[in-house]
Amino acid sequence: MNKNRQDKKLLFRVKKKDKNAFIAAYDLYADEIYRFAFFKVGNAEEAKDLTSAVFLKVWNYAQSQGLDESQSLRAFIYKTAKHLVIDHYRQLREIETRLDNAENGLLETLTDEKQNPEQQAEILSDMDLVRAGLEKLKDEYRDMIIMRFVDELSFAEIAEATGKTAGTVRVQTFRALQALKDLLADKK
Amino acid sequence: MNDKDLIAKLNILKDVKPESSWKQETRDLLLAQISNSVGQEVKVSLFEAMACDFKNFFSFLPSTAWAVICLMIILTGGSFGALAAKNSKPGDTLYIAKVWKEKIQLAMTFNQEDKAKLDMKLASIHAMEITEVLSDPNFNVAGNQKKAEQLAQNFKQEINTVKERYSEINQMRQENLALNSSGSAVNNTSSNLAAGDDNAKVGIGDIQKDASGKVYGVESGKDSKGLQFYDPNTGSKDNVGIGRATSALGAPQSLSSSSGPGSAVAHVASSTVSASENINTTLDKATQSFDIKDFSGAKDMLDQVGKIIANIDSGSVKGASESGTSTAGSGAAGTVGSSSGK
Repeated sequence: MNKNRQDKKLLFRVKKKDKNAFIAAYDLYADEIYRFAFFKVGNAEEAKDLTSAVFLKVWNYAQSQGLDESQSLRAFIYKTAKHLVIDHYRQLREIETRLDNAENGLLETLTDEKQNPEQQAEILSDMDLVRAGLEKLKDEYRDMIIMRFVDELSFAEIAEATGKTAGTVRVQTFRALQALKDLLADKK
Repeated sequence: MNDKDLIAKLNILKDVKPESSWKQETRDLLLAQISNSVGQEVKVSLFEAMACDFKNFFSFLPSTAWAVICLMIILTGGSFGALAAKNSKPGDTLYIAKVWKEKIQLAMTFNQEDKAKLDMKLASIHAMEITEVLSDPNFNVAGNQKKAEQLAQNFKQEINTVKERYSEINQMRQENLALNSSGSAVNNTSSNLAAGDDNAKVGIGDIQKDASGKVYGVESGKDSKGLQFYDPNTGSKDNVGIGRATSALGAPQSLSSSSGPGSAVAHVASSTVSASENINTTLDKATQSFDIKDFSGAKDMLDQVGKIIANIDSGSVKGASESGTSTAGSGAAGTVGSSSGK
């Protein structure tokens, strides 16, 4: 609830073109957007570029068009990220390389030298499992899983970001989770 | 693997984050870029911030809940307002609430006769309130002269309203009488009642007409209690068309037992004054008292008017019309006006 109220406050201020509020929104959502982009494109560098582009685009849009129709700043940022990722895909020549890059990216991000090999192995094992499952899911379901269970967006925010109704999002999230569970069960 | 385990595994992905150095660099870059684009520093006022906070505080409530809360506030506020305004007088702050309540009451009354009765009742109450305000010594100060003049004008308007509504009710009932009696199988001996021929006898159930030939009642020969009428002018007690002041719209002029206690015979005073003349006279007297600033006299007159109106409301003459109906076999209502039978 607090995060929701904070978001509404930031949205109100960003609508008034308060740049400090926008920077506060960046501090709050940069990690999530990076993560979202990372799981989409599978590459850390590309994910960083996309993250910067997303926030700049959101600010420019707020300046020119206004955010009157938006109910949630977070959802609007996710929506922008989604569109930019689609544009990015169009520019990609080799989509297969995305899957290999994802594995390398995850390795670098999740493991560090302080962890002992067993811990690293355990993390990687779990991650392998989940990643493999996510890869096989269709884009729509993957987005739902990342937004709902990793970034913890509300159904209303996901609905606004994806342009669907909250009811549809609820159903699809459930189905996505079931699909992932079935995939992981098959893997085992 | 159950849902809980799967979600726990998915939560590990939360650790996927960019480096903090990159995050800081990008932040500075973004700040520099957006600073160039903003023309002037936009400040959010304290009021706007508080309004936003207030709105967000209750944002968890669905819109239907808001609608219900607003409706409850309006109804509760309206009820309290109406309660507080109940005893307010002209010039009081809450008097306008009372006026609005009365307007709503009138608007919600769809029957024309009831509407006219209510309007008449309210007008007489208003007139009474005006006299009470003007009779208050605290009101009659130099600064309130204009208000006093306005109230005096309003008083006269209210009196006129009472007269007009009374006349309307009168007319409506006469029209009803005419409609009811036109289909009856009563032997119409009204030809005997030529204009001005008050000596003609009429039988029970016969239509009564006034001098102008306008139907005003059906003779039942009895009053509401089934008693015969005694005309003190003629001394006759038979059931002829005796003028009664007991009309559908007015209180009886006077009713008294003819002799001794327990007498069942009602007396009717002079029947030349009709009930409508009675109320008009009382209202005129009230106006005269008001004009000479005899407010207590005006209040007394208005009290009488209030009683007459209350009699109309309570339908004190319903019995007459009902008995008239039962004896005459017609659907006639009570009588209005008077005629003397001899």
